[in-house]
Amino acid sequence: MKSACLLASAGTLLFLRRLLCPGAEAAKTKYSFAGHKYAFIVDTRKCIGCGACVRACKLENKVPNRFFRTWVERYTVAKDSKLIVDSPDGALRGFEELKAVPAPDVARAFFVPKLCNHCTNAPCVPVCPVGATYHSPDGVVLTDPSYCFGCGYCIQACPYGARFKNPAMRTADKCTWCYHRITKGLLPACVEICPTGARRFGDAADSASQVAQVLRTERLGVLRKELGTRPKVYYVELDPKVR
Amino acid sequence: MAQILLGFVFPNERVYWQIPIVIYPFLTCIATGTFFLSTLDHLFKKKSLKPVSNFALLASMAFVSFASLPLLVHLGHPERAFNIMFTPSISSAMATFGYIYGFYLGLVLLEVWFVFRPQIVQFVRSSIGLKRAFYTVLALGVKDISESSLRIDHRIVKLLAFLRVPTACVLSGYVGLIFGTLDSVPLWSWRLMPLIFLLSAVACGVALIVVLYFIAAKARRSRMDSRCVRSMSAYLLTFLVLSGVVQLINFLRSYGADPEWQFSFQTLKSHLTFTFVGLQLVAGWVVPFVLLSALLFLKLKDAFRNALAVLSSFLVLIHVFTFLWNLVIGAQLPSRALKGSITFSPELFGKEGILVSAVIVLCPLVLLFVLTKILPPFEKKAEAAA
Repeated sequence: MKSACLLASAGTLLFLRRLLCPGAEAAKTKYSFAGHKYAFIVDTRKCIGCGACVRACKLENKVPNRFFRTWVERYTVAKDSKLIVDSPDGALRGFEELKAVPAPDVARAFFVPKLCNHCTNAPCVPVCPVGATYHSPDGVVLTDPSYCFGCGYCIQACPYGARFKNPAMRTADKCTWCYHRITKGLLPACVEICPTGARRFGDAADSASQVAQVLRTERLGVLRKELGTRPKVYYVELDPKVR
Repeated sequence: MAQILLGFVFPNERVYWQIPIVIYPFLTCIATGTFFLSTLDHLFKKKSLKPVSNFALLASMAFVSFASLPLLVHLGHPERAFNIMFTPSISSAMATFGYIYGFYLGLVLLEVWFVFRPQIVQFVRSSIGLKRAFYTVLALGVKDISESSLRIDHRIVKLLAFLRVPTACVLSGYVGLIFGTLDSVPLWSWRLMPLIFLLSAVACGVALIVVLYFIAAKARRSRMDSRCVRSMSAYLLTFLVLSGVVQLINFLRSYGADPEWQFSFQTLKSHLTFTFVGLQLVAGWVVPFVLLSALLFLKLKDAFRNALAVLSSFLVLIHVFTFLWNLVIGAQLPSRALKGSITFSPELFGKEGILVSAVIVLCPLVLLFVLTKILPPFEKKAEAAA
């Protein structure tokens, strides 16, 4: 019941946003697959762990229970340097107060939204034995559910735990940056719903875009840079403790 | 399946590869390992292995016939399985499985036919009715078993056995490659993983033949050929030691150097103490090592030596199975976040449960039983009646 209410509220928010910002609606011009360089910016300073992004994603993409295309992790560093990471139910219902470390003992805490990194050197792409996982012409890593036979090799290959086997479709599944939306000029659902602007998405090839400006001016990090996967999800002020 | 989270793990992390993916390399190891014994006889004329060489060939056929079944059971869409042959993505280590497997299966079928052709023709000549019709179909219309014809058969068998050596090596090593190329899982990521699989495959194949030879001898009320058992035990010990050495090298290479590997290994040790330390290392390696050394280097009575060989072989089978269990299941337990792990309790029923897996393992044994009835692999003269 609680989940249904949360999903309904996310749906209402999406509807209101569309109503109030008609400019964000799909451009009527035909989408060109060439010339895009999409990038996703996560600002860990702005995320408040409300979980609206997780709920919006669930609603938009019909993500099955207990699996996530995006989730939010909470990093709590105690004064004695002890690190506690949690993400109860992927932060679908946000976070409750952490009981393991009382508030006065917390040195710092922050939230880290996670999703598929759409790596340039995506480990999941070459391992797919039938080519069902591929780079789209505009650089997004996608999986064709009508061709994937559900071996799970790509799930094992992803070092970020971003993929899962969809129990309903029996194929590999993951974040697509809401490909069905971005090719219509819309933003991914999680970006559109984020109340603090912690998630931003855009075309880095367009030098006037907000994302291109952030890429130029901010100190950014990527998850597990040492792997050489070259993620296209960039984090502002990424803490080295985050994997 | 019950999967409990300990510490922090990424919310999508599960044991996605379950018992069928343990069974798949196990069956493949047996299918390619049993080739070793038949090849030593057919290609290198190792006479001491003559009593079991045809039986090993049938075992290879039975096991390779079902080696892909666990994969099909595991797939989300088994009806799309042939996509891997129609549109293989050559960058994937898994993509050429269909071709390698199909080639090996074809070689085994051909070799079985050529090796057993004289027997098939004899059955055609000596039987009547349905039985005759059945063997006539098996003979494929070729009823010439003259000396010159058998000489040609023999040459073809030699050629097939010769081709089967690299193919079996590729097939068993290939399974290791599927795991070894995954850098995201520390316990799998080693390019020499194919070598471990190859050595384990031979040990596993020889061990199974020793055990089945014992059962077959009991069923036929005959004695095991002691020279043959001794010879198989020597091979078993050799490959058990080699496989252990390569696994030790893998352990030493990573231990202390790679924090991810260390985290994974600690998780494996704490979650799978019984299967890893108890079964794989002690019961599956140390005990058979001692027993096989004893039976090879001490003067023992034949019956006692054979009993020790069967016991050791059974333990080696446990070693290989638990090695695969710990490798496949164990490697998926530690989180990629390195801050927690999951536990795994296999379900009894369900597509990837214990029951289905047990049936899959039994299938090749049933087929082998049927095959030995159709194409008797044991020479009556070779064994003294009990």
